[in-house]
Amino acid sequence: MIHFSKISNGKAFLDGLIYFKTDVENKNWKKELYKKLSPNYPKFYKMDANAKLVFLCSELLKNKVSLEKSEADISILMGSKSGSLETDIEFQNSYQNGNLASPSIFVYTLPNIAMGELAIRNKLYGENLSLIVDSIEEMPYLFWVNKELKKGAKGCLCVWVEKKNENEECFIFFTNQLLDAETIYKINETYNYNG
Amino acid sequence: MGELTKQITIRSGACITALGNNISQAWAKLVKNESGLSYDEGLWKGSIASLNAANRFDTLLDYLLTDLEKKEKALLSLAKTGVIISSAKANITKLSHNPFEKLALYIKNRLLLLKPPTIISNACISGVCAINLAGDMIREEEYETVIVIGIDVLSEFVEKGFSSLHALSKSQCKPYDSLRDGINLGEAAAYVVLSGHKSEANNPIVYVSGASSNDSNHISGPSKNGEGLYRAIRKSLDQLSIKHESIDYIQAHGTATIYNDEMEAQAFHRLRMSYTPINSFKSYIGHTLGAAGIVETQFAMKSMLENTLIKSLGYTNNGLTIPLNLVSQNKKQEINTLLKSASGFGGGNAALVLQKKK
Repeated sequence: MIHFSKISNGKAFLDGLIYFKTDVENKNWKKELYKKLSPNYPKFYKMDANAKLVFLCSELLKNKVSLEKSEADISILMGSKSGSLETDIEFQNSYQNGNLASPSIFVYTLPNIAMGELAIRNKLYGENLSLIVDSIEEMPYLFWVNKELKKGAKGCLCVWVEKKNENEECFIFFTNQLLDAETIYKINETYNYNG
Repeated sequence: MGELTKQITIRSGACITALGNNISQAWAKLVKNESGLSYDEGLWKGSIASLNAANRFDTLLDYLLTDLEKKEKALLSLAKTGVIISSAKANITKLSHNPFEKLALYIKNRLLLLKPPTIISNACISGVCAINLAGDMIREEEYETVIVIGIDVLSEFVEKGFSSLHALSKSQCKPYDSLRDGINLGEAAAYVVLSGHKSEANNPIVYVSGASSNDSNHISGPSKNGEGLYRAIRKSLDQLSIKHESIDYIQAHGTATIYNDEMEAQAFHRLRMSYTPINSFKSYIGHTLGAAGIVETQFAMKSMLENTLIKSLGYTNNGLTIPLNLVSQNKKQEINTLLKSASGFGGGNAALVLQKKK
């Protein structure tokens, strides 16, 4: 079983089919998607942009994949190009001009925090790995998923998140089957589909 | 057990910290229980003396790569040699562009690698995760040899951040002590070499196993019962059916914050490891973030080779609800099996096991 979810600039896809669409100019699209998914998780509003993207995309995926009671057995691999750059800049701005640095922004200034939020939300105690890569094509999906499944993981969540200026996207797939060249092709194809 | 039988050796390379520019200099100070922390603008820090304020990261990276190019020529010329970089914040000193921007490409070109290095940024567990990933890459035959680099530098950014969380100590940090009140920041660049290649087969220490686990509790607060750390260590031991009593020494994270150290005590107690000798190196070099897992593993490997437990500097009185067996003075002792652990922001925990060849 392999399932995909993707959200980017006002659109959301589940297994390659459109789930949600709003005006590209609509800056509130993430809030609207949150309402449609209605996860009842007020902590969402405190998260930084990357954590919000990962949260929404994973909640969408849960329409197809149950993460309940999986606990230790789900491994998470996350990748990003810019990491927490925008939150880093926001934090740096918080202490300019003699102002006090903001601890609530600081705790999000690491690329792996969004993955931590995903684990907390779903009580996932499995392996965690957070990478910085130049593009999603460089994510070591084949090697990493296959070795995790061989080591006994019941499934893998592979997360790609990237936010730079107005462009933001998150792509997640869940698999409990070994990957091969064909599945990698399907993963790339599903990621590249934009409706 | 059958699948994990391939022998992977591990050895130290460059090790640049507040204790000196290589592992011998560091060891000379460790055996004297001499701290590398220095007082600077109101705080104790583990700074590297030869770095100046501007371009800290670039300068330190250059030191490290120059050393690596000189010493690892033979390995770098092999097609099946890979590189992993472990860093929490990379070049955070000039923040207006991505601190990781072009880092992979730069290292690929400079070291003439066939593929770009893998960059791990997993907060303070990055280093231990990086060594574990290297082990898996060799087992799965992605590479024969992996050079694992850890690097992070002191920055206003990180200092302001930990200060805003009231997590910085005003004095030299006191891991596990009753008077501990926070961390000292540090900086380091170091690398270790993991290999299944015949040219490395004579190294005396082997990488055995490792794992990570999330607390699933809070992004900036450790869990009360040490759930993630417990699971990461449990998994590391279970992979090869290693019993808790065969661990001779725990080289723990020990940041000296109230909550981290207590969380560790809970986890080690649950693992029935409260009596295993344990230390923290944070009062020698500070918390070196993404480099910590690499540098501290190097110090622990040197301890194994010298059969010497190094005093957990800063510890005087037990400050944990369940006491641990802190190394209170240097001690000669046979160390065959080592457990290294790390915990960090984002709820991450990681562990690895190394063994001396029989």
